[in-house]
Amino acid sequence: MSRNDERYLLQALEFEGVLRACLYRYTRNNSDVDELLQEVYARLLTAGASDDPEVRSVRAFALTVARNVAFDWLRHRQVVPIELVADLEALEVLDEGEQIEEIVNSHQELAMLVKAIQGLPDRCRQVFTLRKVYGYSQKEIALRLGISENTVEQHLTKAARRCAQALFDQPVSERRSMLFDRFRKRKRANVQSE
Amino acid sequence: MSRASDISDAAAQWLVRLEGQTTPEIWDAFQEWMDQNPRHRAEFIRLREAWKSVDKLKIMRPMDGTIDADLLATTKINPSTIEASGPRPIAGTQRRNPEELPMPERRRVFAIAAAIAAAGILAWFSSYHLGWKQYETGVGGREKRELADGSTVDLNTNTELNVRISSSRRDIMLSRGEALFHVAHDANRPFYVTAGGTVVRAVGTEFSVRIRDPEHVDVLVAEGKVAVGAPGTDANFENPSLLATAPKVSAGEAASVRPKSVDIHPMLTDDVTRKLRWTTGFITFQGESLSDAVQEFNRYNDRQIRIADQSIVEVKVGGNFRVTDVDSFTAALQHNYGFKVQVGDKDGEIRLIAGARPP
Repeated sequence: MSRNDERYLLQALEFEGVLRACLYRYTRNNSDVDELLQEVYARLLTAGASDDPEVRSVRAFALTVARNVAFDWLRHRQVVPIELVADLEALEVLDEGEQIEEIVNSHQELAMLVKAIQGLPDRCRQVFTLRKVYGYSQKEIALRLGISENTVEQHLTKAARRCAQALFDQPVSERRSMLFDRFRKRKRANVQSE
Repeated sequence: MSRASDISDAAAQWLVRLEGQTTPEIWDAFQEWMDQNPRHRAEFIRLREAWKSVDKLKIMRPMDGTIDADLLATTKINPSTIEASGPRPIAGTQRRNPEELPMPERRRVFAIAAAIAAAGILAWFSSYHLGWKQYETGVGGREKRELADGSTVDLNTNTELNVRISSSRRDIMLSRGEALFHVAHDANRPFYVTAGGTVVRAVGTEFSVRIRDPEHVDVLVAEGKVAVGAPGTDANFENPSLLATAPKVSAGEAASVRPKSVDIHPMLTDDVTRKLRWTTGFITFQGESLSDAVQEFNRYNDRQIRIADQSIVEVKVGGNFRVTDVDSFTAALQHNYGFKVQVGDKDGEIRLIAGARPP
Protein backbone atom coordinates (compact mmCIF):
# COMPACT_ATOMS: atom_id res chain seq x y z
CA MET A 1 0.00 0.00 0.00
CA SER A 2 2.82 2.38 0.80
CA ARG A 3 4.51 1.50 -2.49
CA ASN A 4 5.10 4.69 -4.37
CA ASP A 5 3.51 4.64 -7.80
CA GLU A 6 5.91 7.34 -8.94
CA ARG A 7 8.94 5.12 -8.54
CA TYR A 8 9.39 4.00 -12.17
CA LEU A 9 8.84 7.48 -13.45
CA LEU A 10 11.30 8.98 -10.98
CA GLN A 11 13.99 6.55 -12.07
CA ALA A 12 13.25 7.09 -15.73
CA LEU A 13 13.83 10.83 -15.36
CA GLU A 14 17.48 10.03 -14.78
CA PHE A 15 17.81 8.72 -18.31
CA GLU A 16 15.33 10.92 -20.08
CA GLY A 17 17.97 11.66 -22.71
CA VAL A 18 18.11 7.98 -23.59
CA LEU A 19 14.34 7.75 -23.87
CA ARG A 20 14.28 10.82 -26.06
CA ALA A 21 16.99 9.40 -28.27
CA CYS A 22 15.01 6.20 -28.59
CA LEU A 23 11.78 8.05 -29.47
CA TYR A 24 13.55 10.38 -31.84
CA ARG A 25 14.57 7.50 -34.00
CA TYR A 26 10.91 6.76 -34.71
CA THR A 27 9.65 10.31 -35.00
CA ARG A 28 12.57 12.33 -36.37
CA ASN A 29 10.96 15.34 -34.82
CA ASN A 30 11.47 16.91 -31.41
CA SER A 31 7.95 18.08 -30.79
CA ASP A 32 6.66 14.57 -31.46
CA VAL A 33 9.29 13.31 -29.03
CA ASP A 34 7.87 15.61 -26.33
CA GLU A 35 4.44 14.26 -27.07
CA LEU A 36 5.41 10.59 -26.93
CA LEU A 37 7.63 11.05 -23.90
CA GLN A 38 4.72 12.33 -21.83
CA GLU A 39 2.81 9.26 -22.86
CA VAL A 40 5.71 7.03 -21.82
CA TYR A 41 5.83 8.70 -18.42
CA ALA A 42 2.08 8.40 -18.01
CA ARG A 43 2.32 4.67 -18.72
CA LEU A 44 5.16 4.34 -16.21
CA LEU A 45 2.94 5.94 -13.59
CA THR A 46 0.13 3.58 -14.39
CA ALA A 47 2.51 0.63 -14.26
CA GLY A 48 3.75 1.83 -10.88
CA ALA A 49 0.21 1.82 -9.54
CA SER A 50 -0.65 -1.65 -10.85
CA ASP A 51 -0.37 -4.87 -8.89
CA ASP A 52 2.03 -6.36 -11.41
CA PRO A 53 5.24 -7.83 -10.07
CA GLU A 54 8.03 -5.35 -9.50
CA VAL A 55 10.02 -4.49 -12.63
CA ARG A 56 13.66 -5.52 -12.32
CA SER A 57 15.33 -3.20 -14.75
CA VAL A 58 13.47 0.06 -14.97
CA ARG A 59 15.70 1.14 -17.83
CA ALA A 60 14.87 -1.89 -19.99
CA PHE A 61 11.22 -1.59 -19.02
CA ALA A 62 11.05 2.10 -19.85
CA LEU A 63 12.71 1.52 -23.20
CA THR A 64 10.18 -1.18 -23.97
CA VAL A 65 7.36 1.15 -23.03
CA ALA A 66 8.92 3.83 -25.24
CA ARG A 67 9.10 1.43 -28.13
CA ASN A 68 5.46 0.40 -27.65
CA VAL A 69 4.36 4.01 -27.50
CA ALA A 70 6.32 4.73 -30.67
CA PHE A 71 4.86 1.71 -32.47
CA ASP A 72 1.32 2.77 -31.53
CA TRP A 73 2.07 6.19 -32.85
CA LEU A 74 3.52 4.83 -36.09
CA ARG A 75 0.51 2.60 -36.57
CA HIS A 76 -1.74 5.64 -36.39
CA ARG A 77 0.41 7.45 -38.86
CA GLN A 78 0.06 4.61 -41.37
CA VAL A 79 2.80 6.04 -43.52
CA VAL A 80 6.23 5.17 -42.21
CA PRO A 81 9.18 6.98 -43.69
CA ILE A 82 11.43 4.53 -45.44
CA GLU A 83 14.63 5.47 -43.60
CA LEU A 84 12.93 4.59 -40.35
CA VAL A 85 12.43 1.01 -41.36
CA ALA A 86 16.13 0.72 -42.05
CA ASP A 87 16.92 2.01 -38.60
CA LEU A 88 14.63 -0.24 -36.67
CA GLU A 89 17.11 -3.06 -36.68
CA ALA A 90 19.84 -0.88 -35.22
CA LEU A 91 17.41 0.20 -32.59
CA GLU A 92 16.81 -3.26 -31.31
CA VAL A 93 20.49 -3.67 -30.66
CA LEU A 94 20.76 -0.36 -28.89
CA ASP A 95 17.77 -0.93 -26.72
CA GLU A 96 18.96 -4.26 -25.43
CA GLY A 97 19.75 -2.79 -22.08
CA GLU A 98 22.90 -1.17 -23.30
CA GLN A 99 24.12 0.86 -20.38
CA ILE A 100 24.49 4.28 -21.72
CA GLU A 101 26.60 5.82 -19.07
CA GLU A 102 25.21 8.61 -16.95
CA ILE A 103 27.72 10.97 -18.48
CA VAL A 104 26.45 13.80 -16.47
CA ASN A 105 27.95 14.18 -13.03
CA SER A 106 26.39 16.53 -10.54
CA HIS A 107 28.81 19.37 -11.24
CA GLN A 108 28.08 19.19 -14.92
CA GLU A 109 24.42 19.04 -14.14
CA LEU A 110 24.57 22.25 -12.13
CA ALA A 111 26.74 23.91 -14.75
CA MET A 112 24.14 23.07 -17.40
CA LEU A 113 21.47 24.38 -15.12
CA VAL A 114 23.24 27.70 -14.59
CA LYS A 115 23.83 27.95 -18.31
CA ALA A 116 20.14 27.38 -18.96
CA ILE A 117 19.22 30.02 -16.40
CA GLN A 118 21.60 32.45 -18.04
CA GLY A 119 19.73 31.87 -21.27
CA LEU A 120 16.51 33.22 -19.72
CA PRO A 121 15.51 36.86 -20.11
CA ASP A 122 17.07 39.07 -17.39
CA ARG A 123 13.90 39.65 -15.37
CA CYS A 124 13.02 35.99 -15.47
CA ARG A 125 16.51 35.08 -14.30
CA GLN A 126 16.32 37.58 -11.45
CA VAL A 127 12.97 36.27 -10.26
CA PHE A 128 14.30 32.74 -10.43
CA THR A 129 17.43 33.70 -8.47
CA LEU A 130 15.47 35.37 -5.69
CA ARG A 131 13.11 32.40 -5.44
CA LYS A 132 15.44 29.45 -5.73
CA VAL A 133 18.80 30.74 -4.55
CA TYR A 134 17.60 33.07 -1.80
CA GLY A 135 14.30 31.42 -0.98
CA TYR A 136 12.11 34.54 -1.18
CA SER A 137 8.37 33.97 -1.43
CA GLN A 138 6.60 35.03 -4.61
CA LYS A 139 4.93 37.85 -2.75
CA GLU A 140 8.24 39.14 -1.45
CA ILE A 141 9.76 39.00 -4.93
CA ALA A 142 6.84 40.95 -6.35
CA LEU A 143 7.33 43.64 -3.70
CA ARG A 144 11.07 43.73 -4.12
CA LEU A 145 11.07 44.02 -7.89
CA GLY A 146 7.93 46.11 -8.09
CA ILE A 147 6.07 43.70 -10.36
CA SER A 148 2.78 41.88 -9.91
CA GLU A 149 2.60 38.47 -8.29
CA ASN A 150 1.06 37.23 -11.47
CA THR A 151 4.15 38.27 -13.42
CA VAL A 152 6.35 36.58 -10.86
CA GLU A 153 4.32 33.43 -11.38
CA GLN A 154 4.76 33.62 -15.14
CA HIS A 155 8.51 34.06 -14.86
CA LEU A 156 8.80 31.11 -12.50
CA THR A 157 6.65 28.94 -14.74
CA LYS A 158 8.97 29.60 -17.62
CA ALA A 159 12.04 29.00 -15.45
CA ALA A 160 10.67 25.71 -14.12
CA ARG A 161 10.22 24.35 -17.62
CA ARG A 162 13.68 25.47 -18.59
CA CYS A 163 15.17 23.79 -15.51
CA ALA A 164 13.50 20.47 -16.26
CA GLN A 165 14.82 20.68 -19.79
CA ALA A 166 18.34 21.44 -18.60
CA LEU A 167 18.33 18.69 -15.99
CA PHE A 168 16.65 15.85 -17.81
CA ASP A 169 16.74 16.48 -21.48
CA GLN A 170 19.92 16.96 -23.33
CA PRO A 171 19.82 17.97 -26.97
CA VAL A 172 18.71 14.94 -28.88
CA SER A 173 21.10 15.53 -31.73
CA GLU A 174 24.10 15.21 -29.40
CA ARG A 175 22.68 12.18 -27.72
CA ARG A 176 21.79 10.68 -30.96
CA SER A 177 25.15 11.09 -32.59
CA MET A 178 26.72 9.71 -29.45
CA LEU A 179 24.49 6.66 -29.58
CA PHE A 180 25.28 6.14 -33.21
CA ASP A 181 29.00 6.48 -32.60
CA ARG A 182 28.85 3.86 -29.96
CA PHE A 183 26.75 1.66 -32.10
CA ARG A 184 29.11 2.00 -35.02
CA LYS A 185 32.13 1.30 -32.86
CA ARG A 186 30.48 -1.76 -31.50
CA LYS A 187 29.55 -2.96 -34.90
CA ARG A 188 33.08 -2.43 -36.11
CA ALA A 189 34.38 -4.34 -33.11
CA ASN A 190 32.02 -7.18 -33.94
CA VAL A 191 33.14 -7.26 -37.53
CA GLN A 192 36.78 -7.38 -36.50
CA SER A 193 36.28 -10.18 -34.04
CA GLU A 194 34.48 -12.30 -36.62
CA MET B 1 1.83 25.00 -29.41
CA SER B 2 1.71 21.26 -29.27
CA ARG B 3 -0.39 19.43 -26.75
CA ALA B 4 2.75 18.30 -24.90
CA SER B 5 3.88 21.86 -24.53
CA ASP B 6 0.47 22.95 -23.24
CA ILE B 7 0.49 20.23 -20.62
CA SER B 8 4.00 21.13 -19.61
CA ASP B 9 3.05 24.77 -19.28
CA ALA B 10 -0.01 23.97 -17.19
CA ALA B 11 2.03 21.65 -14.96
CA ALA B 12 4.63 24.35 -14.40
CA GLN B 13 1.91 26.84 -13.56
CA TRP B 14 0.44 24.51 -10.97
CA LEU B 15 3.84 23.88 -9.49
CA VAL B 16 4.49 27.58 -9.08
CA ARG B 17 0.97 28.41 -7.95
CA LEU B 18 1.01 25.82 -5.20
CA GLU B 19 4.20 27.34 -3.85
CA GLY B 20 2.41 30.63 -3.35
CA GLN B 21 -0.69 31.37 -1.35
CA THR B 22 -3.18 28.58 -1.75
CA THR B 23 -6.78 27.97 -0.82
CA PRO B 24 -8.74 24.73 -0.57
CA GLU B 25 -10.39 25.71 -3.89
CA ILE B 26 -7.01 25.90 -5.61
CA TRP B 27 -6.12 22.49 -4.24
CA ASP B 28 -9.40 21.06 -5.50
CA ALA B 29 -8.84 22.51 -8.95
CA PHE B 30 -5.32 21.15 -8.97
CA GLN B 31 -6.55 17.73 -7.94
CA GLU B 32 -9.08 17.79 -10.71
CA TRP B 33 -6.43 18.68 -13.27
CA MET B 34 -4.15 15.93 -12.01
CA ASP B 35 -6.93 13.37 -12.26
CA GLN B 36 -7.92 14.38 -15.78
CA ASN B 37 -5.11 12.52 -17.49
CA PRO B 38 -2.11 10.51 -16.29
CA ARG B 39 0.01 12.64 -18.57
CA HIS B 40 -0.83 15.69 -16.45
CA ARG B 41 0.38 14.00 -13.35
CA ALA B 42 3.47 12.60 -15.06
CA GLU B 43 4.54 16.00 -16.34
CA PHE B 44 3.83 17.58 -12.97
CA ILE B 45 6.07 15.03 -11.25
CA ARG B 46 8.80 15.63 -13.80
CA LEU B 47 8.77 19.38 -13.22
CA ARG B 48 8.47 18.97 -9.48
CA GLU B 49 11.60 16.82 -9.44
CA ALA B 50 13.52 19.36 -11.50
CA TRP B 51 12.33 22.19 -9.29
CA LYS B 52 13.46 20.29 -6.21
CA SER B 53 16.91 19.65 -7.69
CA VAL B 54 17.33 23.32 -8.38
CA ASP B 55 17.48 23.92 -4.65
CA LYS B 56 21.10 22.82 -4.88
CA LEU B 57 21.81 26.29 -6.20
CA LYS B 58 21.24 27.65 -2.68
CA ILE B 59 24.87 26.75 -2.03
CA MET B 60 25.89 29.61 -4.25
CA ARG B 61 24.48 32.25 -1.97
CA PRO B 62 27.18 34.67 -0.79
CA MET B 63 28.30 33.93 2.75
CA ASP B 64 28.11 37.57 3.79
CA GLY B 65 24.33 37.69 3.53
CA THR B 66 24.19 40.14 0.65
CA ILE B 67 21.33 39.68 -1.76
CA ASP B 68 21.85 40.03 -5.45
CA ALA B 69 19.18 39.18 -7.98
CA ASP B 70 21.85 39.10 -10.67
CA LEU B 71 23.94 36.54 -8.86
CA LEU B 72 23.66 34.06 -11.73
CA ALA B 73 24.19 36.58 -14.50
CA THR B 74 26.82 35.70 -17.10
CA THR B 75 28.97 38.55 -15.81
CA LYS B 76 29.06 37.03 -12.32
CA ILE B 77 29.47 33.33 -12.88
CA ASN B 78 30.83 31.17 -15.62
CA PRO B 79 29.21 27.72 -15.76
CA SER B 80 32.51 26.12 -16.67
CA THR B 81 33.96 27.01 -13.25
CA ILE B 82 31.08 25.13 -11.65
CA GLU B 83 31.74 22.21 -13.90
CA ALA B 84 35.41 22.21 -12.91
CA SER B 85 35.20 22.76 -9.19
CA GLY B 86 31.61 22.34 -8.16
CA PRO B 87 29.15 24.90 -6.87
CA ARG B 88 30.23 27.18 -4.08
CA PRO B 89 29.16 30.46 -2.60
CA ILE B 90 29.66 33.32 -5.02
CA ALA B 91 31.42 36.34 -3.55
CA GLY B 92 29.03 38.83 -2.06
CA THR B 93 29.44 42.54 -2.34
CA GLN B 94 30.46 43.21 1.25
CA ARG B 95 33.59 41.12 1.41
CA ARG B 96 35.79 40.26 -1.46
CA ASN B 97 37.34 36.91 -0.84
CA PRO B 98 35.60 34.38 -3.01
CA GLU B 99 37.89 31.59 -1.93
CA GLU B 100 37.19 32.17 1.72
CA LEU B 101 34.98 29.22 2.34
CA PRO B 102 34.87 26.53 -0.27
CA MET B 103 32.52 23.78 0.83
CA PRO B 104 34.95 21.16 2.14
CA GLU B 105 36.36 23.77 4.52
CA ARG B 106 33.06 24.38 6.19
CA ARG B 107 33.26 21.48 8.51
CA ARG B 108 36.71 22.41 9.68
CA VAL B 109 35.71 26.00 10.26
CA PHE B 110 32.76 24.84 12.26
CA ALA B 111 34.95 22.58 14.37
CA ILE B 112 37.21 25.50 15.16
CA ALA B 113 34.25 27.75 15.83
CA ALA B 114 32.75 25.16 18.13
CA ALA B 115 36.02 24.79 19.99
CA ILE B 116 36.32 28.54 20.43
CA ALA B 117 32.73 28.73 21.58
CA ALA B 118 33.22 25.89 24.03
CA ALA B 119 36.33 27.50 25.48
CA GLY B 120 34.43 30.76 25.69
CA ILE B 121 31.51 29.21 27.48
CA LEU B 122 33.85 27.67 30.04
CA ALA B 123 35.65 30.94 30.72
CA TRP B 124 32.38 32.77 30.86
CA PHE B 125 30.81 30.35 33.26
CA SER B 126 33.69 30.40 35.68
CA SER B 127 33.68 34.18 35.95
CA TYR B 128 29.94 34.86 35.78
CA HIS B 129 28.70 31.77 37.41
CA LEU B 130 26.67 33.54 40.05
CA GLY B 131 23.44 35.36 39.59
CA TRP B 132 21.92 33.21 36.88
CA LYS B 133 18.30 32.26 36.91
CA GLN B 134 17.04 29.31 34.94
CA TYR B 135 13.74 28.99 33.08
CA GLU B 136 12.59 25.85 31.34
CA THR B 137 9.60 24.37 29.51
CA GLY B 138 8.94 20.75 28.51
CA VAL B 139 7.56 19.43 25.24
CA GLY B 140 4.25 21.19 24.54
CA GLY B 141 4.91 23.75 27.26
CA ARG B 142 4.79 27.52 26.86
CA GLU B 143 5.54 30.22 29.41
CA LYS B 144 5.74 33.96 29.63
CA ARG B 145 8.17 35.42 32.17
CA GLU B 146 8.88 38.93 33.26
CA LEU B 147 12.54 39.68 33.96
CA ALA B 148 13.97 41.98 36.61
CA ASP B 149 14.60 44.80 34.12
CA GLY B 150 10.98 44.84 32.89
CA SER B 151 11.70 42.84 29.74
CA THR B 152 9.55 39.80 29.03
CA VAL B 153 10.42 36.48 27.54
CA ASP B 154 8.09 33.90 26.01
CA LEU B 155 9.50 30.40 26.12
CA ASN B 156 8.26 28.09 23.41
CA THR B 157 8.04 24.30 23.70
CA ASN B 158 11.02 22.35 25.02
CA THR B 159 13.11 25.40 25.80
CA GLU B 160 15.77 26.16 28.36
CA LEU B 161 17.39 29.47 29.06
CA ASN B 162 19.41 31.21 31.77
CA VAL B 163 19.10 34.86 32.59
CA ARG B 164 21.43 37.21 34.40
CA ILE B 165 20.66 40.88 34.80
CA SER B 166 23.47 43.03 36.13
CA SER B 167 24.02 46.77 36.30
CA SER B 168 26.07 46.85 33.11
CA ARG B 169 24.46 44.24 30.90
CA ARG B 170 21.64 41.77 30.47
CA ASP B 171 22.56 38.27 29.41
CA ILE B 172 20.41 35.42 28.22
CA MET B 173 21.87 32.08 27.42
CA LEU B 174 19.51 30.02 25.30
CA SER B 175 20.60 26.43 25.43
CA ARG B 176 17.62 24.76 23.82
CA GLY B 177 14.44 25.63 21.92
CA GLU B 178 13.01 28.99 21.00
CA ALA B 179 12.17 32.20 22.82
CA LEU B 180 10.68 35.59 22.03
CA PHE B 181 12.22 38.56 23.82
CA HIS B 182 10.44 41.83 24.37
CA VAL B 183 13.31 43.97 25.55
CA ALA B 184 12.71 46.96 27.81
CA HIS B 185 14.65 49.91 26.46
CA ASP B 186 17.84 50.59 28.39
CA ALA B 187 20.72 52.02 26.39
CA ASN B 188 23.15 51.55 29.28
CA ARG B 189 22.54 47.86 29.64
CA PRO B 190 22.71 46.06 26.31
CA PHE B 191 20.72 42.88 26.09
CA TYR B 192 22.66 39.85 24.83
CA VAL B 193 21.22 36.53 23.77
CA THR B 194 23.71 33.75 23.23
CA ALA B 195 22.58 30.62 21.41
CA GLY B 196 25.32 28.16 20.65
CA GLY B 197 28.08 30.29 19.16
CA THR B 198 25.63 32.93 17.94
CA VAL B 199 25.22 36.15 19.82
CA VAL B 200 22.44 38.70 19.35
CA ARG B 201 22.62 42.16 20.85
CA ALA B 202 19.64 44.42 21.35
CA VAL B 203 18.87 47.60 23.22
CA GLY B 204 15.08 47.90 23.15
CA THR B 205 13.30 45.69 20.69
CA GLU B 206 11.29 42.54 20.12
CA PHE B 207 12.87 39.52 18.54
CA SER B 208 12.89 35.74 18.71
CA VAL B 209 15.78 33.30 18.67
CA ARG B 210 15.47 29.64 17.84
CA ILE B 211 18.12 26.97 18.01
CA ARG B 212 17.43 24.63 15.10
CA ASP B 213 20.58 22.64 15.55
CA PRO B 214 24.02 23.47 16.90
CA GLU B 215 25.07 24.77 13.50
CA HIS B 216 21.93 26.72 12.74
CA VAL B 217 20.15 29.44 14.70
CA ASP B 218 17.21 31.54 13.45
CA VAL B 219 16.66 35.12 14.50
CA LEU B 220 13.44 36.97 13.71
CA VAL B 221 13.00 40.66 14.48
CA ALA B 222 9.50 42.04 15.02
CA GLU B 223 10.48 45.49 16.28
CA GLY B 224 13.66 47.56 16.35
CA LYS B 225 17.02 46.27 15.27
CA VAL B 226 19.56 43.77 16.58
CA ALA B 227 23.18 42.95 15.80
CA VAL B 228 23.95 39.31 15.07
CA GLY B 229 27.37 37.77 15.50
CA ALA B 230 27.79 34.41 13.79
CA PRO B 231 29.86 31.63 15.35
CA GLY B 232 33.47 31.73 14.30
CA THR B 233 33.51 35.47 13.73
CA ASP B 234 35.11 38.13 15.94
CA ALA B 235 31.74 39.21 17.17
CA ASN B 236 31.25 36.68 19.93
CA PHE B 237 29.98 37.33 23.39
CA GLU B 238 33.45 37.62 24.83
CA ASN B 239 34.09 40.55 22.60
CA PRO B 240 30.77 42.31 22.35
CA SER B 241 32.14 45.66 21.21
CA LEU B 242 32.98 44.04 17.88
CA LEU B 243 29.28 43.52 17.36
CA ALA B 244 29.26 47.09 16.11
CA THR B 245 30.50 45.78 12.77
CA ALA B 246 28.36 42.63 12.81
CA PRO B 247 25.36 42.32 10.45
CA LYS B 248 22.22 44.12 11.62
CA VAL B 249 18.79 42.58 11.39
CA SER B 250 15.87 45.03 11.39
CA ALA B 251 12.17 44.78 12.06
CA GLY B 252 10.49 42.59 9.47
CA GLU B 253 13.63 40.63 8.74
CA ALA B 254 14.74 37.16 9.64
CA ALA B 255 18.28 35.84 9.76
CA SER B 256 19.52 32.34 9.39
CA VAL B 257 22.79 32.09 11.27
CA ARG B 258 25.39 29.45 10.60
CA PRO B 259 29.09 29.29 11.27
CA LYS B 260 30.56 32.47 9.76
CA SER B 261 27.38 33.40 7.97
CA VAL B 262 24.36 35.52 8.71
CA ASP B 263 21.81 35.22 5.98
CA ILE B 264 19.19 37.95 6.20
CA HIS B 265 15.82 37.75 4.45
CA PRO B 266 13.09 40.34 4.50
CA MET B 267 9.71 39.09 5.66
CA LEU B 268 6.21 40.32 5.21
CA THR B 269 4.41 41.58 8.30
CA ASP B 270 1.91 38.76 7.97
CA ASP B 271 4.68 36.21 7.93
CA VAL B 272 6.34 37.70 11.01
CA THR B 273 3.03 37.50 12.85
CA ARG B 274 2.54 33.97 11.61
CA LYS B 275 6.01 32.89 12.73
CA LEU B 276 5.34 34.24 16.21
CA ARG B 277 1.85 32.79 16.52
CA TRP B 278 3.22 30.09 18.79
CA THR B 279 3.10 32.66 21.58
CA THR B 280 -0.67 32.22 21.45
CA GLY B 281 -0.49 28.44 21.34
CA PHE B 282 -1.18 28.10 17.61
CA ILE B 283 0.85 27.38 14.52
CA THR B 284 -0.13 28.43 11.05
CA PHE B 285 1.14 26.78 7.92
CA GLN B 286 0.96 28.46 4.58
CA GLY B 287 2.51 26.40 1.85
CA GLU B 288 5.17 24.74 4.02
CA SER B 289 6.22 21.27 2.91
CA LEU B 290 4.63 18.40 4.76
CA SER B 291 8.01 17.41 6.16
CA ASP B 292 8.55 20.90 7.62
CA ALA B 293 5.03 20.98 9.02
CA VAL B 294 5.44 17.56 10.62
CA GLN B 295 8.78 18.56 12.07
CA GLU B 296 7.14 21.65 13.50
CA PHE B 297 4.30 19.66 15.05
CA ASN B 298 6.70 17.16 16.53
CA ARG B 299 8.41 19.91 18.51
CA TYR B 300 5.27 20.34 20.57
CA ASN B 301 4.18 16.80 21.13
CA ASP B 302 5.39 13.56 22.59
CA ARG B 303 3.14 11.73 20.12
CA GLN B 304 5.42 11.92 17.11
CA ILE B 305 4.29 11.95 13.50
CA ARG B 306 6.38 10.23 10.85
CA ILE B 307 5.98 10.47 7.09
CA ALA B 308 6.21 6.85 6.01
CA ASP B 309 5.99 7.64 2.34
CA GLN B 310 8.65 9.62 0.51
CA SER B 311 6.25 10.62 -2.23
CA ILE B 312 4.37 13.00 0.03
CA VAL B 313 7.16 14.81 1.89
CA GLU B 314 7.04 17.76 -0.48
CA VAL B 315 3.29 18.18 -0.45
CA LYS B 316 2.47 21.75 0.52
CA VAL B 317 0.16 22.21 3.47
CA GLY B 318 -1.80 25.05 4.96
CA GLY B 319 -3.98 25.67 7.98
CA ASN B 320 -4.13 26.93 11.53
CA PHE B 321 -3.76 24.47 14.39
CA ARG B 322 -3.46 24.42 18.15
CA VAL B 323 0.11 23.24 18.70
CA THR B 324 -0.88 20.30 20.87
CA ASP B 325 -3.81 19.19 18.73
CA VAL B 326 -2.17 16.47 16.67
CA ASP B 327 -5.51 14.87 15.90
CA SER B 328 -6.92 17.88 14.08
CA PHE B 329 -3.76 18.12 12.03
CA THR B 330 -3.81 14.49 10.94
CA ALA B 331 -7.58 14.66 10.35
CA ALA B 332 -7.04 17.63 8.04
CA LEU B 333 -4.37 15.71 6.15
CA GLN B 334 -6.69 12.73 5.79
CA HIS B 335 -9.56 14.84 4.65
CA ASN B 336 -7.81 17.31 2.37
CA TYR B 337 -5.06 15.20 0.87
CA GLY B 338 -6.49 11.71 1.19
CA PHE B 339 -3.52 10.52 3.24
CA LYS B 340 -3.85 7.40 5.31
CA VAL B 341 -2.96 7.53 8.97
CA GLN B 342 -1.70 4.54 10.92
CA VAL B 343 -0.95 4.49 14.62
CA GLY B 344 1.82 2.20 15.87
CA ASP B 345 0.68 -0.29 18.52
CA LYS B 346 3.70 -0.02 20.73
CA ASP B 347 5.04 3.51 20.46
CA GLY B 348 1.85 5.31 19.41
CA GLU B 349 3.80 6.79 16.52
CA ILE B 350 1.53 8.30 13.87
CA ARG B 351 2.50 7.29 10.35
CA LEU B 352 1.38 9.19 7.27
CA ILE B 353 0.98 7.32 4.01
CA ALA B 354 -0.13 8.53 0.60
CA GLY B 355 -3.70 7.52 -0.11
CA ALA B 356 -5.32 6.45 -3.34
CA ARG B 357 -5.52 10.01 -4.50
CA PRO B 358 -2.30 11.39 -5.94
CA PRO B 359 -0.60 13.93 -3.71
